[in-house]
Amino acid sequence: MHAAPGVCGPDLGAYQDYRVLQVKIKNLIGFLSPWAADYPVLSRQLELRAGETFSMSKLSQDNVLINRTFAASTSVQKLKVVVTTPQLLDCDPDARTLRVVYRVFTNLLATSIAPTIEQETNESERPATTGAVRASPPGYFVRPIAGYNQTLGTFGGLDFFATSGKFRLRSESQFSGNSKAGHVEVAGSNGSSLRYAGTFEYLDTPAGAARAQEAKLTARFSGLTKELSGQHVLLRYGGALEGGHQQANAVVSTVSISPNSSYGALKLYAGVTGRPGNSAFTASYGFQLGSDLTNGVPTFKKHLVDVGYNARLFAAPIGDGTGQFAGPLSTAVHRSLDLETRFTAGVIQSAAGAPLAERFLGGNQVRPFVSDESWIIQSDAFIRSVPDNQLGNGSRFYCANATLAWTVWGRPMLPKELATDTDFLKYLNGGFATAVGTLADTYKAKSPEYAKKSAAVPARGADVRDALNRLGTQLKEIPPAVAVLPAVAQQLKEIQNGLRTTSSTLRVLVDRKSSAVGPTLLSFNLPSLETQTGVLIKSLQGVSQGALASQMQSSLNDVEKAAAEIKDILAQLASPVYETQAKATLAPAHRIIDIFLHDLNIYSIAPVAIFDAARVWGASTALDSGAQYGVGGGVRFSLVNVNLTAVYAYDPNWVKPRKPGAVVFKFDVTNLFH
Amino acid sequence: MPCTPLSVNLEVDPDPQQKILFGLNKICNNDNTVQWTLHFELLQGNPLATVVKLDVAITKDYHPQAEATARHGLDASQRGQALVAAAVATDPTATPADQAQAAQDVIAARAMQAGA
Repeated sequence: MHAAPGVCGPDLGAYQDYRVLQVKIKNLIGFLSPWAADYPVLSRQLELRAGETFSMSKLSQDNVLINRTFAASTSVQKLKVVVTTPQLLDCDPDARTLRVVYRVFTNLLATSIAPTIEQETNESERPATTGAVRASPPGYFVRPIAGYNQTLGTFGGLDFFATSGKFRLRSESQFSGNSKAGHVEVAGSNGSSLRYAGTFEYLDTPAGAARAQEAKLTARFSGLTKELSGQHVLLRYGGALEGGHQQANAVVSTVSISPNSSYGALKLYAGVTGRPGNSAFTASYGFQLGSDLTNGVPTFKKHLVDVGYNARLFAAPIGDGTGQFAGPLSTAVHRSLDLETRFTAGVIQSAAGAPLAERFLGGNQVRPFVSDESWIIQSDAFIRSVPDNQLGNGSRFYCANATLAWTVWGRPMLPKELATDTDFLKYLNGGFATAVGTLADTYKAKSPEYAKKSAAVPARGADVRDALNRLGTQLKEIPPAVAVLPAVAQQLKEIQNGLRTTSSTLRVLVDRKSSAVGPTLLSFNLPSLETQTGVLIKSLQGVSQGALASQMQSSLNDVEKAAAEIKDILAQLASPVYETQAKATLAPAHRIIDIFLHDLNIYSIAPVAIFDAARVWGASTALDSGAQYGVGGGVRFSLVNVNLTAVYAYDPNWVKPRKPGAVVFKFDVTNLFH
Repeated sequence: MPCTPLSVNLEVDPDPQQKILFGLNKICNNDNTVQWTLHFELLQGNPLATVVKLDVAITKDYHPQAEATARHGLDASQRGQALVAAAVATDPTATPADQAQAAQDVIAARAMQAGA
């Protein structure tokens, strides 16, 4: 029975005489590289083509081919999932035509996704892009940036990112009518725990009534510990050495700042971050020794404290990554109330020696302590009602920020076809369980303690083999007249087959000393062999072959005795330790897939409410901005690979010449090149 | 019941010296009957070398085991049999029939329990 015209029913077999108008492969994260989305080479290899009669078996074969092709793509990841399923569209019962779309869901996860607050913020603010970048193999990444703020006016720029082996190149530039900023970085890592980078940074920007210019070279490193607990908490630490030149002009007379000098700094920083449940937190401390390099003595010291807490309220619960992938999967937008909070404070000692770009200026742009996007430590008073660099010019600051966003419209990243497919999670869990079990077997095999305790298993396996060899010899002693009896002949054949397959298992167990096949021997090979031999023994007793039956029973008893000993040894060795270790290894990647399944949207619109409080001050009361506030709101769009934020914040304490509030408008478009 | 093809492939690289691949394909024939195939591959070492590589067409007799495997993954007995099948596959004295049987037994080796 066919569904309404244009809609295809679930019984694909009903369309076997239809003509195929079009065959298309749709990669569900292909929106980041739309020019590569047609897969012309792969399409040419498909059996089912446009113009041909629809065939379910060809559809199935092509589905397997597409899946294997995507699965074989080169990538560096810890866990890769590829799911493909075909869909029929536009079934026309009059013209007897249809279209075929193969939907591919891929999730290629980089090894370095740590449970940090920065990752959580990315998921919240740029869900589709974050998910798709995570699910793509390393390549080139281009992100045009544009926006507006009252200090810089309209600005534009380009963010470029490329990966080659262990190294990443990142280049970010931003220009406006009165500012220039650039940042080039070459970074590497030893895997996921230690990162290092060399950067060049340039900044020329209005800073209150003055201009600040700074150019510097930086060498930095940062490290992460392993997750410390089931709460996904990790410690991080880092250091940076900077050297360059700074200039400041039209500086207000109340501040004594060198207008033109060399500049060097040592930065040390440490912190803790984590993602327990649907929340994330960070706490960081930064220390900076700065110098104008005239006499080798530090001219100023900076201390920063930066803490933050994010929570995703009313969202689907995300497990700790050690359980199963769980449903139900939603076909509706993933809604949550996203709360982001931050408190930052800082002080500069001997502030007269600090160049303008290193002082606290405050405003509606986050100024990071080091330019590491994987660890953002705020280093200035962030207040969205005050234009960038216009809150003050001081040596002390604090700021507190809160942002609330509620997703009101959107569509989940996981396609409806997969969300409603009852087999999808089942297969995903099956595959994952295989990975956990195989990994646990490897941990067992590598464990000296396990090897020591299981050493007796191959020896008992040799006893089984000896007994089975005797049984094999006894089978040959069955008189030919008895062996051809129909019941006996059938039992003999089955026992001989069983002996052959069991001998393969015993070769691995005894000769290769692999106790991993012990369960196969005990629960697969021997039970049926013992049953069949028992039946044969009874048959032989019934045809006056009692002596031979007795010998065979003796051999069988020896087999059972050795098997029981193997079972005892394996039972004593049974431990959840290895499986727990395997699950812990895979938990970070498991959690990221959970977030894909339950959290990320491909389209979303969220109204945003904000509240900020900040103050910048110094030794002189003339430099005290007083406590300023920012209250307002805006909207956050995330439309596939386009991300846009527009907010307005009002400062009830505003004083002229500042305006009563400030607008921030920013959007970016992310594309990947492979 | 209508049959819809589905392919799932899962690759895990727990460390640079290990790679595990698991694939399960549901194939719909023109007569609406279902066929299952399993792919399992284990690579270890530096450089990575194949320890086990299996492509198994699952016969109808073992569909209950195939269904349980799809739902719960390979159990300890099946993972052991995968090692056996790999050994048979590289055994010059084994016949093609032996190799096919050993691969098929990866599914058959599942320890079936009530409700599995």
